[in-house]
Amino acid sequence: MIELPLIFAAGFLGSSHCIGMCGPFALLLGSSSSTWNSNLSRQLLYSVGRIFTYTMLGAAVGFGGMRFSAMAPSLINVPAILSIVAGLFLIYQGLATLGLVRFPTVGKGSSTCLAGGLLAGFLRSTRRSDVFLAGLFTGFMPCGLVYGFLGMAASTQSMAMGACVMLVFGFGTVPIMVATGIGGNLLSLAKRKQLLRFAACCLVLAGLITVVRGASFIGLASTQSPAEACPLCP
Amino acid sequence: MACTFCGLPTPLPRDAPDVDDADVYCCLGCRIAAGIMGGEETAGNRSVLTRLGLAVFFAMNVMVFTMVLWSWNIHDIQEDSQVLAFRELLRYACLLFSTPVLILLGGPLVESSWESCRHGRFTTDVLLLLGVCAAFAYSAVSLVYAIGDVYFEVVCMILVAVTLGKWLEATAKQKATQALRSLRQLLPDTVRRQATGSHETEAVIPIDAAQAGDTLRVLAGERIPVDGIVASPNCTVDEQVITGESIPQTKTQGQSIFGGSLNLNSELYLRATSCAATGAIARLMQEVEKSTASQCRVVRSADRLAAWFVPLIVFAAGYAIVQNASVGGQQALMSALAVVLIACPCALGIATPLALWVAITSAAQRGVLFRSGDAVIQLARLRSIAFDKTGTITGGDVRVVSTFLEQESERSSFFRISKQLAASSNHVLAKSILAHLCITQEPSAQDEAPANQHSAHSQQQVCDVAGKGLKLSSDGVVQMLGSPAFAAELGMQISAELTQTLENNVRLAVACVGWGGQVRGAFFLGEVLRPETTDVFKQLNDRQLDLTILTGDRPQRALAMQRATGVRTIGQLLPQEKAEHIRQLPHPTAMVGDGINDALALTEADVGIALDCGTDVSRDIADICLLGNTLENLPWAIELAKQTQVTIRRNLVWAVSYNIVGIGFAASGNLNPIIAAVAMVGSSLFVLTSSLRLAQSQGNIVDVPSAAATVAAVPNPTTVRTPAVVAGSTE
Repeated sequence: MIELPLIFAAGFLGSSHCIGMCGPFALLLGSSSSTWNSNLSRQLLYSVGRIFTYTMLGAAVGFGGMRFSAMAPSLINVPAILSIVAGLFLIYQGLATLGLVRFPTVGKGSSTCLAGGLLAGFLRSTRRSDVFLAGLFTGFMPCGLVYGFLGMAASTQSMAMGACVMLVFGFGTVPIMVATGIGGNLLSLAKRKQLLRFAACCLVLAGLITVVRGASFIGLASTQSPAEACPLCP
Repeated sequence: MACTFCGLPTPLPRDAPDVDDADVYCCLGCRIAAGIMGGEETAGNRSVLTRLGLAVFFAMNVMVFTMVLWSWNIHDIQEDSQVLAFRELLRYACLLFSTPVLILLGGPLVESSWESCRHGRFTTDVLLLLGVCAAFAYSAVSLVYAIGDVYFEVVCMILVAVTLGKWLEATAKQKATQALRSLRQLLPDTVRRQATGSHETEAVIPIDAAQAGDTLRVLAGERIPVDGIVASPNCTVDEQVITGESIPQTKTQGQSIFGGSLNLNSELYLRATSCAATGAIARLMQEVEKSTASQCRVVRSADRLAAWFVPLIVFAAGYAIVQNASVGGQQALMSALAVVLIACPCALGIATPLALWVAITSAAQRGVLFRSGDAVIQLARLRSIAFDKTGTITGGDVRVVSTFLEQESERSSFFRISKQLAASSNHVLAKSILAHLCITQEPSAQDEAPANQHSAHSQQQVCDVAGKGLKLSSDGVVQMLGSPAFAAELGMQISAELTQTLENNVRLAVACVGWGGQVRGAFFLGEVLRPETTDVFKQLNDRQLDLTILTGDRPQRALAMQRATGVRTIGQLLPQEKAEHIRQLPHPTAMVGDGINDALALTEADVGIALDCGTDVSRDIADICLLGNTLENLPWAIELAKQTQVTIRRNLVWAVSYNIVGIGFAASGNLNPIIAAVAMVGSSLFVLTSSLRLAQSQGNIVDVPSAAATVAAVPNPTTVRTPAVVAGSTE
């Protein structure tokens, strides 16, 4: 079984990657508040929204994993496959952030993306409900990190555990996201780039570990517990 | 009547009662999008966006609860009383959480259904609303009386999927109609009005408050707000949006300029001759709007198709209920819901208009104005093209090369009469003659001052005989300016010397001037082929189009033209004869000519194309106007029309086959309503992206340029047009 503290740590390390994409959102959110205190509460509420989405998605994929393995013949080790896929996502995200791999762009700049309209509207508003909703929709943003952890959540094959995994992951991302939102400009640009690169390396490492973990018990039938075969877990 | 949000035509007729001030929408998506984009937050009134967000939040909760319920269904939990109680709790939680979703997202749906019912139109929104409410009611009843399954998640997901999907559709539609709005944005919001009698100081006023007669100040890099006359020394402007002419024009004091042109170099003062609503660019926009809203044949047939679509859906839903009733009441309800959701008359409805719209606005940006959707479709089917010669294939650079005068003593009368007659015609040759006369500044011109008033009075009696010339009866004396054939017709004698000169100058165009029974002189004008003509002919030939040049000029000149261009040229044609020739060409046929002088031929052709109508678009009777003085966009326009036809066909085929397959699946009970809701959005999106691709593939020349870039790019324009002809050209 995946140790939850490990997930928290992975979330924490991986979330420095979040500064790249979601950092600007947090900053935009903070821009419409005047005091340090109100900014903090906005950032926390924003994170609550994000975590809510992650948890819900975790429950959904947990359910999906459960259904999928019920449907698939027992020769296919679903959790192992999901672990490998999750690991690959993490590696891909890390490499892309480092610039070693290109993101494929969708069409000539998608003209009908709604995300801008939705998020911008919520982020600029002063209402509490809107801040929460901004977090909610941010949680749906395409993100290799999230997909990676969702893969892990799916491999638990249980709604409760899946939700738990994502909940803990979400908590792991809170410190850095809140810090970015509040003091985003404290770090110089060069330092931020360094941090991003460090985070990307962590991601690649985490991804590799996950792939190895999945590969190590893919040979087993799905009815056996993976804990027995995992080389990392005691 | 155009939709307030996206601008596409709505099904409502123009004179629908009591919709004057209210916002009218073409579909549910536009209604939602307008609410989201334009919604203002008033105290205590949540914006549409917040409501949407909250609805999504509640829907997410319902999904999680439902998934838990499903997981119990899979694993066959023992009938433990604790588990059962928890199960009941979850189901009530579903009911509790889906009620806000219904309320929050049902609003626009109810509004839209009410609007359409009020006008007697029964649309799918009504069916959708009924279906959703039925599902909700059924689930609530079955929960309270514990008699069956609940479908709250279906209700929630359908509402969310439909709302988001329709919003996406509306945004895409708005993007497609963007081009027209970008024209509107060319005009500034405020203008600087100078101090005049009634106004004390320079005031900054909204553009709509500017009136004819106001003096306005426009800075370098700004766009001219309204049509007007230059009231300051020379300035340089870029008139590309109106005339398509990309070379900057120098305007001197007293010359007219159009609203929408870009003031390039220096501050200028202008005296407004129109208000913003009636300026050239406003008229251009009106023309484009009219053509996009025109009810062309293809659109009408699609509308008829859509008219019996809704009854078809009702029938299919009824069939679904009957078919699946044997399986169970809830299955019947779900399949009926799936039928209603997947049937998408909107894709069918916008398949044609959207493609036409995109084509028309793309073309307008490139200087080709289609006046109706029919013009686009006819152009795509073209098989032959006829060209007028003078002014169409030959450029505006017609100049008087030499003048022949029978007797030197008659010089002043010759010029006076020529000027008087030439000034009353818009024909290219007349304009050139007038320009020549003005430039040469004959001494006799000064004597004309008293005569001018007299001639202005009798100008009304100048008779313009199409294809032949101008005739004026003044004090019983017949004066003429026109072709030698016309002179002969009027019984005027042509001297042997003149006849010889005519023979010698076959390559030149000629206009004879005569009065009192004899031709007294002639102007010889050099016509030059437009530089792009050979290239255009080659491209049109490559398309297997049958080309002909029709002209009223002498046969020898027709032959010379045929040798020069390689295109069959028929000369000595009167306007009726031109029309007759057009009738005999393989149809559909197009006629390219001067909008004013070739009226008969233009109307006879299936597609009438007029050149150089940039200044007064509304006066033309042509189906297509080529703004700007060039033929080079003609092959491009034909290619665009063909691509549009392909796109329309593709859209229609997709819309019809998708509906047939989808409804078939749904009616037989094989389609989950949620999947149906998502798939419906997909079908409209396909039509939208396919139409948008039309715009992208053709490319656009005119993007609204940033003023700074344009100013920086123009170092010192030295290109000056030949002195503009004063009479008749710009009014």
